[in-house]
Amino acid sequence: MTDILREAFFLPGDHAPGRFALLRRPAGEVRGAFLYIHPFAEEMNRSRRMMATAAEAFAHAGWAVLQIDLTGCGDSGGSSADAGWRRWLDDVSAGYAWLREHLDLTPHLWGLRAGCLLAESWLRQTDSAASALYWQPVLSGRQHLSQFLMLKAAGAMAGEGSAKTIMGPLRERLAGGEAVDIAGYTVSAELARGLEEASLENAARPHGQTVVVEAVSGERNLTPASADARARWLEAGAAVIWEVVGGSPFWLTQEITLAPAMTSRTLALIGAWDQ
Amino acid sequence: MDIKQQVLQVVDEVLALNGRALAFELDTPLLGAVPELDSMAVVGVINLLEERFGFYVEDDDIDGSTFATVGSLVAFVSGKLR
Repeated sequence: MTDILREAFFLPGDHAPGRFALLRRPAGEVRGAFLYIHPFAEEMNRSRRMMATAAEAFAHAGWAVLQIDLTGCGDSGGSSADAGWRRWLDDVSAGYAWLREHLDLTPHLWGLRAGCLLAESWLRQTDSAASALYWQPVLSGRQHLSQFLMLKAAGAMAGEGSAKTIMGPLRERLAGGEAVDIAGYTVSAELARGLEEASLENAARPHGQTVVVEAVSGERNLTPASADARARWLEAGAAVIWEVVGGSPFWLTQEITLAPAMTSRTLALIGAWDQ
Repeated sequence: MDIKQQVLQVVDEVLALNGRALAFELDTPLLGAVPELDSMAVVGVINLLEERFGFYVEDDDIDGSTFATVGSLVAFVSGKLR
């Protein structure tokens, strides 16, 4: 286990003071680098501790990890109203460029939940040959957006309201180009559309390797949706490894939980990604 | 594992009840009776049920009565799986 260095700074961005970034790297030789892309909304907050411990473990194992806070997500400039799918893709570009320039290597992308959707969108759009590490990926952006809109409906459901009476008008406002406010987040129509159109249900990326790791408690089987997606990726000839380990769903539990097996298994799987 | 036990496992994990939910019966009340089940947790339960069982919850599928008791939630999941 090697000593690690930590550095926090802001990358230049449209909203002062810029894009918050946290770099962890081994004190010695760097075997490769990851740009970490966080989940959407509350899943980002709930997963902070797990992802910090994972990034530490990666750095101890020789990997540099740059965690960026996407625009409007708290630590970077801008409010949640300034967040947008295209802007987030620009954030990824900025973080990726910084890593490549400062470490002089081809970084890989590491996403958690909706961060995987953003990473995949970026990889498909840039035609990059970078490899991708996806943790507990959201497979359907459409479903993820629905789950988020459901937050507003869930409050009403404690009374006599039904989900539909709340969700219908929300969807209409987004379709009409308006932003909606949910659980303390302002979601622009552009962000909602970008998220809704993103998907990992099918492989559409010609280059690079993909490692997917999911955590389930109890029996270690892929969920039906993941098993289907994995089969489609393999059928399309994608270079993908898709595994499941035991662990708590730390991205959504009410209390802070960890899934250390995700970290240890991943470090074993990416052992050949050195460059 | 039967549907009821899988549903209770999801409820237990999302609410961090440390196994307490696994002993719930079909007539155990949920919404309004389990303090940990706030709106964020309701969505967390829906989210994990969708992913574990592989179904998709439509806007008009659910209302407050879905989460009234363990039995109503199990009936909802069973209906989605038919």
